Amino acid sequence: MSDPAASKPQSKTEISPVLIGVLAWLVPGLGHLVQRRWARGTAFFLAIGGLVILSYHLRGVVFSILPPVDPRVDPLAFLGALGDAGNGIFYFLAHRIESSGPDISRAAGDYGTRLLAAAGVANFLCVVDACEIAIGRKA
Amino acid sequence: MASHFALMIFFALALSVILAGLIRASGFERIKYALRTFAAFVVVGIIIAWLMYPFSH
Repeated sequence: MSDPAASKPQSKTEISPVLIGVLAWLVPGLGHLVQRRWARGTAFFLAIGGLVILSYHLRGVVFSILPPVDPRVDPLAFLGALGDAGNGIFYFLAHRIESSGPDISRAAGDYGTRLLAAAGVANFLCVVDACEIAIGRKA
Repeated sequence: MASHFALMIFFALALSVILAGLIRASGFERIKYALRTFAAFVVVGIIIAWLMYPFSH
């Protein structure tokens, strides 16, 4: 027999889940911080931010979302752009953080490219988590 | 530039922290899950590295 208390929905946040989602995407961890999940928000910001800063330092490729890559011409670059864009404000500040541009002549550049995409995808997961907290599905 | 191993360690650490925050509900459970996941990432990474070693030269 299931425990009724376990299935009781959590209290919803007063802020719109859509706004929470946008904030969570824009700054990793911010969606959780706004909802007073201090530990999670800080951990997500440091982990995702650390991956992004490291990837720029390694001079990985930052795929372009503006203008968007045609997925029929280069589907991998298109997917890479979607992943990279998941980093929110870090993505748009790429050229300010590392102005030298990509360098994939070394293995480090390849690592940087993959780390950046992984960080972006991880942030998308954090956005979903923040929205689920906002609608009361999670604590 | 950091070594390949150091980059793998950092990536495993960051991903373990993120996954623990997403999947587990309580603080202690998160720490346990993060440590287990980090160890699994590192061990599997080393195993795969040694499996690929014969093909590297």
